[in-house]
Amino acid sequence: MRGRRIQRVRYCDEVGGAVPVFLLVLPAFLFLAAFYLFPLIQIVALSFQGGGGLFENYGSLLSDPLRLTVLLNTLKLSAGVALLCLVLGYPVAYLMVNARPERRSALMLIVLASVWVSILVRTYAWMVLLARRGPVNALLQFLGLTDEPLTLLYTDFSVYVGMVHVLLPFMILPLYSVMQRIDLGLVRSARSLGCGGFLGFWFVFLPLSLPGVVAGVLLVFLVSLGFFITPALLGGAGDVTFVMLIEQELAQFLNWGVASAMSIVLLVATLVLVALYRFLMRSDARLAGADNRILGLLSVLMRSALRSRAVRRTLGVAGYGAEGSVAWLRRIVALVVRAVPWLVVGFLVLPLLVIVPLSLSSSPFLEFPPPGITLRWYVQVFSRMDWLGPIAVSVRLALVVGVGATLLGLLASVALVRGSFPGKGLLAGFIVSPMIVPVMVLAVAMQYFMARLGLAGTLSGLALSHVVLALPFVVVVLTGALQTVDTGLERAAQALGATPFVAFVRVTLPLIRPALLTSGLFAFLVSFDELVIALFLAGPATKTLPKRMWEAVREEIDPATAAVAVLVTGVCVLGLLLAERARSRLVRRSNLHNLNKVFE
Amino acid sequence: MRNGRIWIAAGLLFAAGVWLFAPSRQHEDTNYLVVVSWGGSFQEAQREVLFRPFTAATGIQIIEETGPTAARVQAMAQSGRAEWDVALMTPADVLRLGRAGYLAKVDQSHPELAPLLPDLDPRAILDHGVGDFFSSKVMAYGTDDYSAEHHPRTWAEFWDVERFPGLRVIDAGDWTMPPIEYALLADGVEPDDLYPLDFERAYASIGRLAPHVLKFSDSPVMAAQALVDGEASLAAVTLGRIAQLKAQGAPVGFEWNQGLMEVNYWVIMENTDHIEAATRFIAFAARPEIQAAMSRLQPLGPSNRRAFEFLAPERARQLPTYPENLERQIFVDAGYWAREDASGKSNAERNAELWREFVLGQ
Repeated sequence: MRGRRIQRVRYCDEVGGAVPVFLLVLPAFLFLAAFYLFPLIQIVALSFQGGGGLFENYGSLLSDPLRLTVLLNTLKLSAGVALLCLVLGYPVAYLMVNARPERRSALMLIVLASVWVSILVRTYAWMVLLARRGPVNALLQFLGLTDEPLTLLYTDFSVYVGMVHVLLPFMILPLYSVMQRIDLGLVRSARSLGCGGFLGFWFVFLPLSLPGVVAGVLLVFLVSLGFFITPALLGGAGDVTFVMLIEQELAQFLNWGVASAMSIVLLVATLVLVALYRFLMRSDARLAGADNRILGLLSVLMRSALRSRAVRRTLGVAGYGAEGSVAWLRRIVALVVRAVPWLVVGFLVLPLLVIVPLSLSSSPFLEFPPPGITLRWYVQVFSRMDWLGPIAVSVRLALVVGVGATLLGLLASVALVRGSFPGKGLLAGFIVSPMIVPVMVLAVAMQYFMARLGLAGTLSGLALSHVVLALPFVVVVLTGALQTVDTGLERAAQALGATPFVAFVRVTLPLIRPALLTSGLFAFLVSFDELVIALFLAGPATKTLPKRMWEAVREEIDPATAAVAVLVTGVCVLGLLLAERARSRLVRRSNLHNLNKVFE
Repeated sequence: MRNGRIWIAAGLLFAAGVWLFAPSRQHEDTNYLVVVSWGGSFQEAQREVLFRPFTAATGIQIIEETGPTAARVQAMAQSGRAEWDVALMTPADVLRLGRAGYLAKVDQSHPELAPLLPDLDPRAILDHGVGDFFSSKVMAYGTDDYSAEHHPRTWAEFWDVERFPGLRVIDAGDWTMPPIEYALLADGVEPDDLYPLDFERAYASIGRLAPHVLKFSDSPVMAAQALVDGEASLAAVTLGRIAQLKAQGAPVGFEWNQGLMEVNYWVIMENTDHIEAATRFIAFAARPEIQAAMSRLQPLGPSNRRAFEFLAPERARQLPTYPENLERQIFVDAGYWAREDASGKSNAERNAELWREFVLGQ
């Protein structure tokens, strides 16, 4: 009797376990193959179609000096944004690593919150802040720094500020994840050997954090290449980026061939950068880039930069050898160094606050400070069909996406964690890859694909596209959670007579319930916030809230828009707090930190 | 307990599935119309005096959209998506899209429309559209920088950045009312000699102003909004919008002189499923009392001449079709914009290409 039971357990583990577990990845795989890979292949094919041979579209892309100029400008913009993000993000990541645990998680929450608060809302906040009658100008004039309002909006300046604000978390997170792994004992021993303060940082900590620097710069560069919303809203007459050109090509000229070719160019550039990113992050695992030639070269250069005696003497002020007269200078430098990361954190959070007073302003026009307080814009939002309709559509859509993506993602995650089959790594990469494909490229592909299925303008078309976008987040969170679950518990349940399915449902599911909630929330938020695909796919009866907000933000600075922005931000923050609460219930590993894996 | 939760979860999933895959009411219900207009305060006014009364009278729901550009109509027709039913369009677009077969012919014998036609201005009746109102593109200013006494009164003055400094907003070249006519007027072309348009000269003129242009407006309300927010000092704006903002107390003013006037038409998409409801809507919009109500909220010249019977004389004086205002403005030649050259390209399409070269060269 007993022997038979044990035999059965082994049977479950090998056959009943291994084979069906592998099959669980199929729904997600087939779904992505149909609604993600196939549409992308379609636009690859489209890009080679045309009257004048295979490469006509690419030819017209390369031979058009205007398009090339735009491409070049976009590259410049992305590089600039990446460097600015590095300068601002590094101190914050450094602060996080060195902070006490509770302060560290507070900072982490702020950084992650700014990933999840709608990009549209954040960009809108900058439109308000930088307006001629906005708070920044009001403050400058109040302080007597300027006599008349400066033109800040619709300039290069506003594009940079907005983009850095939106993309800063994408710099901080990879930096943090690398710095976290640096052995601070090395820094301490350097100090004990006389290389403390700035020099210790420069010679020991900085070289070890280099993989994070390179990864962060690459990631920000990559995301800003495909960035649409912020430059489109904050840019002036000449600030056209490559993705804006793709949108124009389609919306105005219906030029599918060229739009596809441009999308493919962007996609290939992205993939190359991702490959580079992964290469660098992997080499980091092998002891901080010691065997990596690029990084090795970089750190040698850095070290030799300080070898010259003059440089060392100048920097020595901040490092060692500070005596008497330079002590006060050292104190000031230390103060500034300490203040910088907090200023950056303020820069991340404060702009959002501006929309609150605006949404309560009694003036229908932009005025700072607001002349009076009223709740009528909120009342208006909930009494106007042109807002209520999109709100209903978005909530409905996001619920469906949240549930759908979590189901598909759960099955796939079980297969990816428990199963062992050839090509598993590749498959995992494929499932999370929608995260890195520029949304505009996906939008172009989806529009073409859904129109042919007759799903353009329908809720189903939107839901299918959003599940593609949400699935990676679900899988990252759930695989992380499943890895922490001891499979021994399930086996014990099976040994006691439960079938594998019942054992999973009764034992493992309750254990990962917080992660399920988190991934459902993330999927909900991905869909609730998504604009670019909705711009192309949503029809009049299925207009989503972000699309409605996009119209409102582009057209008029109406306090009702601010009221909606406050409400949307509220939903995002509430979702995050729920996720954080779920996380704190998980004893061993944190979901939020699992999310961090997204960036690794 | 555990089982209970699983059943609740399964129930929720089922409900969510039903909710997603159940056809949405708006799709099933044929008793609606998608109407596309120009957004902002203008569309709010329409909602009040036209959309809601129409729904009350006929039971047909109105789903609103904004931004009825020719490009969108073409894109929809070519991809086979019948998203819109009725749209408000400029005459050049009506002529062009009508000829291309994207717009339905208006049934002028429809029992609700036919009795109204004799009262309409003859310029308001086209094969593919019924004129709703006369509108005008005028120069406007923010009162931070300019006043009723001191502001540009001709387009040449509007272009004169020495005498009238400050940032401008003018229309994008691919927007429904391109800045070509006023760029030429600014360059010294006499109003009577505008047509045929010299595009090259127009873009040279726009290029000269470009360093002082904050943004080339490609949305129905952006130009007026930029003045209200103080982002720009001067802008070319639609009369209705700016006049309404001024009436609400926004810090703006405008100039009648050299306003560029045209009729706006209600049109019906060729591939609509709601042709009967759409025709009834167009007829409803042509009623004198409806047009008068609209003209009370926004200074639009009604196309139905009997609308003036419902308007107070003081109000009539503020409308673009009031004789004294009429003689200071210039009528846009829509026929020219819709005319095709030998290659089958209309002047509007040629202009769209020229604009694109222009903007990428900036």
